[in-house]
Amino acid sequence: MSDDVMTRVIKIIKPFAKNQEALAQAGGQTRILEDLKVNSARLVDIILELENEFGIELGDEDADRVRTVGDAVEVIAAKTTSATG
Amino acid sequence: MVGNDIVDLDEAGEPSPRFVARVLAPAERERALGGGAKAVWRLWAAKEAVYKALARRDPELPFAHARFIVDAEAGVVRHGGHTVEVCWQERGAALTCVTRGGDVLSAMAAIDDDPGARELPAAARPSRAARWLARRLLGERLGSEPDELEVVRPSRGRGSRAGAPEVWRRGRRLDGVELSLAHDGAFVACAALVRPTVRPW
Repeated sequence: MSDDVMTRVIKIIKPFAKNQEALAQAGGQTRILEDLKVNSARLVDIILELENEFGIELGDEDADRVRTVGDAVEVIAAKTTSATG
Repeated sequence: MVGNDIVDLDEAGEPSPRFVARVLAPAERERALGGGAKAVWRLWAAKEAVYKALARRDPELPFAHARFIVDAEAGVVRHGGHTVEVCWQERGAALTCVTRGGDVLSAMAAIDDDPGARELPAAARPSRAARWLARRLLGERLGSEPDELEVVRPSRGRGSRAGAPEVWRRGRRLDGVELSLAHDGAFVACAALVRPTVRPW
């Protein structure tokens, strides 16, 4: 599941990332702001897109935890598990 | 405590209604309604600047945007028990916001103003240009050549945000200098607070 989630997360980040080269190599540890050169306003847009894509709601604390691609995958997994479990 | 932010109004464009609903408190939304995109970005820049300033004391402070309440008329941002004065400046499409208090130095520039940045891949230019601007600004203040100064962003490990930028001179960290860097679109900005204990070279 997480590979599929990771692929979808990266697809969402793609239009906002200034460093497309780093995005092409992105993994769980890739930092969204520093490595992918996403600015902080665009990170809010990414959070909103993640909510749409996965049908979840991310509160401020959840959103603040999303610093790497892997963090996004983990937060989504936790939210979707708690919604279905 | 110093913090700053810059918005390239041309690149930032029109914020979506969901973005506005997420980052602005209800009272801010009402006030920003008539001002269009620029009014929203002014509030955003102030929130960012104050967040950066407060995060120096509390590095794990969550950036919950709507909890940073901007009173644009009074020129202050309130968060928890803190009230921080801010000021805005506009030059062309560049909009900056800087926290006030103490002898704050600030500057903004286009990324292309930095001759060294032009030779780098596009993704590396903004960070390089922001550091270049900071070294020039601080060099003038400290009586140093910009090349003698180094701006370092310490990493605090996975799961943590990078720390606030540090300024080093000839291998020694200048503990009395607080620096804040920002970049967006075609522009970079920096703001610095130099304590009197930091002597010119």
